[in-house]
Amino acid sequence: MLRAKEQAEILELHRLRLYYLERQLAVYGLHAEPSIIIERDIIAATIERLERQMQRQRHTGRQYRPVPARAKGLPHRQLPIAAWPSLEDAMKKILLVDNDLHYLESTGDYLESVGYQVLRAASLERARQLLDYTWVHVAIIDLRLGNDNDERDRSGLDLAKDSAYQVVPKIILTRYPSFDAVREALGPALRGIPPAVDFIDKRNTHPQALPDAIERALIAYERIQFALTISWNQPLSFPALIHLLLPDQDTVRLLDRCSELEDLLRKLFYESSQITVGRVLKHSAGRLALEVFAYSSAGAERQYVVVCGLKATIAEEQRRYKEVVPLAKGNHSTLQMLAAETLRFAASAYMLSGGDLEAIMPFRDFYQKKSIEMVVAGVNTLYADTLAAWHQQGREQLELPLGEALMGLFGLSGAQLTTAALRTRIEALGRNLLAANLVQEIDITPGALTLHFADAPALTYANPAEWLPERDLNPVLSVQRGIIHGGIDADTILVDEQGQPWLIDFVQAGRGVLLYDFIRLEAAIKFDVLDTLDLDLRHRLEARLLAASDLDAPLDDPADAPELRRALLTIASIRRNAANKAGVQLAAYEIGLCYSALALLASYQPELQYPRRRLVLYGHALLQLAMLCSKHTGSAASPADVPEAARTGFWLDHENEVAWVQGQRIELTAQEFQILAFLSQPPGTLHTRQQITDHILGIDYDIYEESWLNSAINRLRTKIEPDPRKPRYLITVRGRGYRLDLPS
Amino acid sequence: MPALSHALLINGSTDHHWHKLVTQIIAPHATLHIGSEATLEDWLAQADYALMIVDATVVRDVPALIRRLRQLQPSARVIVASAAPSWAHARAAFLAGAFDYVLKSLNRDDIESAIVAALAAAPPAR
Repeated sequence: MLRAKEQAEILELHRLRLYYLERQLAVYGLHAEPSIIIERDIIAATIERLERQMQRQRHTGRQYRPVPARAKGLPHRQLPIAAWPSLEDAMKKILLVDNDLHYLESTGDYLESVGYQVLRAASLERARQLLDYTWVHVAIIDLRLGNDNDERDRSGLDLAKDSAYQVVPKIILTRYPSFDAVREALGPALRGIPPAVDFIDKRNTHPQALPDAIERALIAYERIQFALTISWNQPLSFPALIHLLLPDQDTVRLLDRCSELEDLLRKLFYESSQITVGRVLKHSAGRLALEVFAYSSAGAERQYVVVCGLKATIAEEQRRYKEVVPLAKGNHSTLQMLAAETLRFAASAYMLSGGDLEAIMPFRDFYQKKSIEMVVAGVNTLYADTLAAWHQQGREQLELPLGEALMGLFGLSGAQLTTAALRTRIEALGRNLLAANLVQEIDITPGALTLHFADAPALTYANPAEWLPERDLNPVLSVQRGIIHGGIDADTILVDEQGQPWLIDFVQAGRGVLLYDFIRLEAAIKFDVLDTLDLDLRHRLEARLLAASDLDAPLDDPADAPELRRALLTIASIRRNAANKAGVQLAAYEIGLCYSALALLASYQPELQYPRRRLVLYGHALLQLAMLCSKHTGSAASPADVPEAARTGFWLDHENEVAWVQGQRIELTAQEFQILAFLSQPPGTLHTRQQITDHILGIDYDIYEESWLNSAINRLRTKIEPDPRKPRYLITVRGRGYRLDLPS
Repeated sequence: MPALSHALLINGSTDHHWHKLVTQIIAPHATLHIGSEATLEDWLAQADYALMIVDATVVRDVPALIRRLRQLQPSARVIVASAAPSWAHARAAFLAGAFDYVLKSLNRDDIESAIVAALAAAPPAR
């Protein structure tokens, strides 16, 4: 119950809001948005109600309690105390629609006097506006809203039949009851669902009939648990949830959306006496997954993952859940237990069978907090047990154009993959990476993308903008198709302390290529949970992955940095499962990786600036794409095709005139290649400056050539040396010349 | 071919014309059983009905009967047919859980549309 001081504060806030709205209306006049007028009216009515309540309290010397009052224009009768709405009824919002202004006012006043909040509408249009902008628990609608004397006027009934407002229980009022009208109102007119839940004769009905009908409707059709206590385990609130659900929600309707979301939970947990809302497990525009602990009046606890959001997406998820999600296989299923809806929102409550929600964490936390052995075990259980039950359904081996299948799953369109679209993004991203110091240098030409990290040789890769549109990213490959989750990421997998996974979020579940469920998790590791701003480390990760000759190959090296090793081992287990459980081949997998990088790059907006943490992810996606492109460029060898020396040290590819340093293919100019080729005959031999210039330029050594050779050697060192200031391969023999030292 | 549903006509009167009309309408859709309020328990024990038609002229307390039927067979759709329908009786029947309330006329279209809608809304036959 609110104390007098709190009531006064709320009243003051409402007055301030009213003042602000009146000012807006004064400024915009006839051009003001209808929503402002509606909110002004609602707030004015609320202020009036609060003032009346406070006045009563002053008279009685006690807190607000609804008292029987004589309703204007209605027969007076002292109401029995037992029939009074409880204090919670102050939350019940009623829409009263009648073109008879006297009846509208008197009945509205009466309903307010017995504890309801009443929104009044004197016309059909106004009623529609209020239903569109606000959220009400019950609508009471006069049958004839146009002309009381017109027998054919059934505009109120037409409003009740509107499927847009189907979820709001409606009570039809009339001075002219008839058998036909009752049948139309209460019969199965709306796809088997009655347009209204009650029908009341205005003429001779006792005043208590309306509150009785409202209460019946609330119990039978709304099933809102008004006595439910809602507490929060985290610094959350309904406005915060609405902000996550509807980031663009204007403040005018915020309170209404909050109360609608609150009612959604009160409907969902109708059988409970208390709920505690915990973490937000996942959120995206229009959808939220929440941890909720529900308690019965006896104190028994039940744990749920509640997915709530806009009605259409939740309905889609519920449909897919029913159609494709495998039912209780083993002891670790996600079971839908409850469902509810309001005008705009809907929710499903899932239980994680065999799991304790308090000991369960999203995969992103599991990845960061647990040992690498546990993470790998969790990934193995996910694919070998949990997702295997999905993938086995209707599984088939097909030859299909893989690009088409993946573009649809990644939500990509052909327009996003044109040279122009990619070039704009890549060039802007390159500039931003440089400005943010994530690379030392970057040079983007139509032929190549060259970048340079601190203390590392320059790296040259194919420019995806020029390369991709020319290549066939839609090859016909043999892949397996079946039921996939389709939304695997670091938040849709929940894992307990023992590494047992559960899946949530089924809005994308359906038939698809199995490899998608694997690619999504590898992408989540790289672009979401890998917590490093070091783009060079990310580059090394990609180089190691690209060097693997197949999906089964071991990837880790105990000497790797811990975060690199963790990522490599996790990705290795994802890939191993892809090969062994879904029969995925490396070529198909790498096509999938191309699309996952493209999907991330497609979200990059060149006109925007991004924080370094976000920018590094875009940089990683660009690197992954460029490196995959280079691997598949023309006749160039891939790391898998070159000698061991290329992967672990230095190797000159005489056929393609490129160098390989520690697994990296280094593009060289013709002259640079000639210098290295000359110095490598044989490796470790001193070559004087004159020998080099004579061989390359074919002229005698002079001052000009000295300057040329210095520049050429410097350029080469920036390309091939891990640290150009401390050369390992291209060694200067002071006063004499140069030597190419290659590790044995 | 899917199994036919069962329908129960709670009649008990000798209104042969209406009885015959209902039988003709239901025949393609469901197997019709005809009983009275007095023998209701026996009929309800025999089958799960997709549809029950209550002739209001032979039942003393229609809303009470509807509530009883809905309690015993919640998935059944109940149609009330009355020779003298009033808005108040119709309202009471709907609030008690009737699926529809129709005029007990000999116009085939009136009763047929209500029966077809009720059978379409009922769960499939087992």
